Amino acid sequence: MIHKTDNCFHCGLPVTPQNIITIKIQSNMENFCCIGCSGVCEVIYNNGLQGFYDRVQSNNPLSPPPPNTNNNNNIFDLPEVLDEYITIDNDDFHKIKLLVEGIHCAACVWLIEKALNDIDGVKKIAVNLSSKSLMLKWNPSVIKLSHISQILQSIGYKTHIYDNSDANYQMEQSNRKKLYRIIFAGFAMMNLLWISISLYSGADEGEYRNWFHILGFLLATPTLFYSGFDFLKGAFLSIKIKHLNMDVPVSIGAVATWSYSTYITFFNPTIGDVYFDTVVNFIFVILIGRYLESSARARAIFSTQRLVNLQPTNATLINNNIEKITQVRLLKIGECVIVRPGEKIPIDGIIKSGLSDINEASITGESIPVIKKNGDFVYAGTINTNGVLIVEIKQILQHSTLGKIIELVERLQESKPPIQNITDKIVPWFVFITLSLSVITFFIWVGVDFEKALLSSVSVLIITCPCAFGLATPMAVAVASGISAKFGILIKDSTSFETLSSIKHFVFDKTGTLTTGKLTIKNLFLAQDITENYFYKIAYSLEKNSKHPVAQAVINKATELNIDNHYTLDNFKSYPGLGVAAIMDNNTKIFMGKYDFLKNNKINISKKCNNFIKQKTIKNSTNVFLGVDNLCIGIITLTDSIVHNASDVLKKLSQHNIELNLLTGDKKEVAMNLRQQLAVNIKIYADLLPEDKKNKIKELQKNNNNKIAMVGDGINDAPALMQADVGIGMGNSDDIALQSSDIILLQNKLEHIHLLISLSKQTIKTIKQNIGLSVLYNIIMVPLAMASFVTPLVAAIAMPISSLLVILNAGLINFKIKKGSWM
Amino acid sequence: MDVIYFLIPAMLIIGLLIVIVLIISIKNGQYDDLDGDSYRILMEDEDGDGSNKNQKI
Repeated sequence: MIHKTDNCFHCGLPVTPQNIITIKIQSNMENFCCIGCSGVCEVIYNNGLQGFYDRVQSNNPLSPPPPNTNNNNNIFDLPEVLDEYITIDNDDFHKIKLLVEGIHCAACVWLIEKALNDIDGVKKIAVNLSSKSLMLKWNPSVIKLSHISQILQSIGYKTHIYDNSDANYQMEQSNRKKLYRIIFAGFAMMNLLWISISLYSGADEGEYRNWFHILGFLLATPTLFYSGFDFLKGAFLSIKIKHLNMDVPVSIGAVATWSYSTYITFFNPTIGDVYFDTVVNFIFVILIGRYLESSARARAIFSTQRLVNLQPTNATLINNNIEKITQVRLLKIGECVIVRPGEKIPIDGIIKSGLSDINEASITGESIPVIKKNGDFVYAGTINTNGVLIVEIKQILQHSTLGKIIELVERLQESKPPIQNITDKIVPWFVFITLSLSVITFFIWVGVDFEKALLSSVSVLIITCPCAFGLATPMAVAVASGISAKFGILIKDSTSFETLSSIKHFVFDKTGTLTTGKLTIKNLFLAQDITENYFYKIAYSLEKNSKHPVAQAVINKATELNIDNHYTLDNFKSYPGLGVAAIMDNNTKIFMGKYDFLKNNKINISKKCNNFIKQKTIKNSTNVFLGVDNLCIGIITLTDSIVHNASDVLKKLSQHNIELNLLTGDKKEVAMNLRQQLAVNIKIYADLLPEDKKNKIKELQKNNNNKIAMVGDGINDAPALMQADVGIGMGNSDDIALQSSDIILLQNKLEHIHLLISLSKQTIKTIKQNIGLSVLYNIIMVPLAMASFVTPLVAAIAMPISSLLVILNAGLINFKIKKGSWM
Repeated sequence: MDVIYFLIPAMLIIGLLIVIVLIISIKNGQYDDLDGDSYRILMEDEDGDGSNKNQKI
């Protein structure tokens, strides 16, 4: 078997020289991206399961890379922190639940359990794949918790303490409660069916009739008040706040049916039958619909949790040349922190010493790093690419730019009004019509017979059972969420389907959404008579030591050209903001960097080169010069590359009369340039700060009450994503952006927007059809009830049929969304 | 038909037992992870020394 050497043999992720692991697999040397992958691969081969690799689909979505694992573990050994979360067993074993970052498949579960299984002092391990958590039972006198955490870190997983007040825990508990209620309702339903069958087949006339009714009452009563508790509570609350929701008709139907049947059971009037089976069936079916909907939602929320907010990030405090790691929230104004290359700047401050290129994309959206020197202001959340900085703190965390964005998002989250879905809009009418029909029925019959009038009017309430109606939305949403999950689209808020189906305005962020946010080489200008390969070989040898985005672009290009050998260089030096330099073959000086950098090092830049960079398209881009032996041998031009299918995706959207807008923190020229390359009609709003982006969306929303969908990824997009009616985040987004989004495209594929639109249109169509079905059912059944023709048998047959039709219709969404025919 | 007068109480008792069993299994956390446990059968360790710690706690 021949495999590409630049991708991991196991998972297919690119292998970089920094993390390469090579092991022998069946007489071939194979490359892996991490210890996890190589370990799993070894086991697969040792067990003769290599057929796995033939089955792996080539278009398998890739999981995100494991998170950085350089946090310090001491927190796990502090008793004052741990005491709250530990339960102690009688035999000296401690039990704790940990959240584990980086679990994404069953292989991770296996690896973690395998890694911890053989360690002394660990008694039990149970990994939960759904909630990405780990239950651990260990003996603290044999092994420290921090040691266990370190073992997990060494295989690529980061652990956090599982907080009981955390949303995860709440969700798990409410999930269990729902299951109890469903199980009880299921039990009661099955037994009531037995009783009903007996009644229909003759027991109704027999001596035990009353006993059957009482048995039905005994089963139905706890079902209504225990299993149906959520509906009753929801209905009560919704009446209290005068905002009727689906719980109201459900409760009215269930309570009316139950009271009627109870009355019949204990007072034995001359006419009338019991409907206990109807109440219970109805509660059971609706509970299942709701459970499916909420578990689809819970899965989406679990998958987006990156857990970073649970534990404060650390910073390295420096005081009289003594370094101390501390928590960011404990930092005070005036203290100094040291930030090494590759680290995030923890807090807003001023550079006291050092010089570096700072990647500010998370705040400004600009992908090319900015040089910052002594006295310059740096923002929290931006990345120090090269050079060691000592930063004097000027703002505490809450007041930093990042902190303000987070605060803005939180404020918007609180003020966002709940979106009414279709059924909620119909509910008041439904309740009103049902109640009036019931009253009308009473008055029609009251002249004939008071008892008959009362019973008929209640039977109207029974038969207008909103069962189909109550299932209309949850079933369709559960099916649609299931489909989107297959494509790696997570729907956090199910009302987004409704909003999306009617959206006519899309707003896109630039960096990270339409462009990749990574520099790529657009052009190479060779000033001397050399080959392209020779140029990149020198450039690669030089840049492979650097962490600057330009270096990454050069390395990628070299890999593309299959350059894997390189010259050995001495004296490598990085000059932040300028470039890099080294000595080749003992005496040849090579320099790579900006124009001024080469000029200052007395490198001759020929006239040809000077003319080249004066060209208009080149002038506005980033140019990097390579000088060897006092002569400039070539110039590479770099740009932020466009996502490969961005143009097609946008064109298709505008063909469907969707207005496109671009919001960016970058300069207007850059955005104009992008528009030209995309060749679509997109409105540009440039030079925007995070808050401006949010305000711009607000402005667009006010124009003719437009609904806006925003697609973005950065910290700077978070407020805008929150402000938009539907926020769509890319999978590689910053955490705060993920939290602000309603929908997340995990695979970072823009074309999934098309799928989303088709899916939401289909879902809304299905919901409307479902509502139509239940209205049709009522049009047939209500006159029968008003004429007092309804018997328990009719109700028992008609009601499940209406629910089944709705469920089947929801299932049809699957067939209607065919792959490839989106929009 | 008379047999049903015996069957119904019997079903009720059996049904209640099933409910109790299910509640115990939910309490044990067997329904917490509907994704991961389906793979667990593939992960049994081959050492077979009886020290299998990978169980629900």
